[in-house]
Amino acid sequence: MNTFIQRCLHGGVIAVLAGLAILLARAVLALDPEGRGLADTVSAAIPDSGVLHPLTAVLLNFRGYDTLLEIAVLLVAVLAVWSLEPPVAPCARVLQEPAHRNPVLLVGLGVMVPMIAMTAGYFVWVGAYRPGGAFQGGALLGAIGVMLASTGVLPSSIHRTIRVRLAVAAGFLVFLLVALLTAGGSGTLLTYPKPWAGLVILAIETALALSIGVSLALLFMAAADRATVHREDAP
Amino acid sequence: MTVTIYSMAAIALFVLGLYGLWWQPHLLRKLVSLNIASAGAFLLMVALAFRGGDPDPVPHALVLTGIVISVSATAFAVVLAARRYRETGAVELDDPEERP
Repeated sequence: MNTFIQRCLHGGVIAVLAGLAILLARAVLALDPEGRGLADTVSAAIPDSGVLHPLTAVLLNFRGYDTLLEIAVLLVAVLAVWSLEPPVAPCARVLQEPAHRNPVLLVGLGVMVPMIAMTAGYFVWVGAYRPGGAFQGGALLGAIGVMLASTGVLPSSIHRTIRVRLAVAAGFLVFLLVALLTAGGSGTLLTYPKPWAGLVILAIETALALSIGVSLALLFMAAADRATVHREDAP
Repeated sequence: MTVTIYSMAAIALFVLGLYGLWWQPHLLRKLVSLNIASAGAFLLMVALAFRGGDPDPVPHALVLTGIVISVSATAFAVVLAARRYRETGAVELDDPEERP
């Protein structure tokens, strides 16, 4: 009887979701196939934005408010993860053998980390006129953090140092400062003065990339720490 | 045509993810399902942005923002689930005896 009810429930769930899929597909097919959305509006406003790439212009200028809130969410996520409980186990336990004992790993890191860091810097810089920007650069920086943490080079107590905490907050603080200055100067939040727009965007993007990279790495370290502790505690 | 293929694939991913989120009892499976569903939503937005020739940058910007948000939410959820496991030993939301 119990399995019968469960089967009916399962069938109901599948039916509801199939209905949702059909509804969504019909809605998508009903859209204008030549609809251009905001593409023309954006390309018309590009000369005012201080950058040449439309995506960066939208992210950092036209919809800068979204990005400000996004970096705030990332900051809150890091704080929430930390407040759940401070890491107790060193991250080196993710890899049973610490990197110091493995020369191949150390040399590999020594080659890869500077290259990835350079690529991250290039991505942030190139975002002004090509695909790239703070998020791509930040993701690469995060990858460096993940590599260093999972090879045990980075101690898990690293988040207690003031430098790391400043790096986590830097993106939000710089962005907030710009928001306050523009609100005070021009009376509108995040409306950059036109001759300075490119420079302001680059400054924000650099701080954002740093914060995103460090935050992603710290989130990884926190989750990996829990997973390790959790495995050892298990009966 | 390309846009239609990608949009339909995105809807399939989204619904598949919702199914897992709804029906899989294990918290980690729910989390993976949630990420599949959000991948579907992102794919749909990117696909629809491509309708009129050159892509519309606004949905692309929204997706880029959404990816970072979903990564932070996932990390938080993983830590929350691990904490729950350590406190109660449970890996599912319901109590085992209450489940049908």
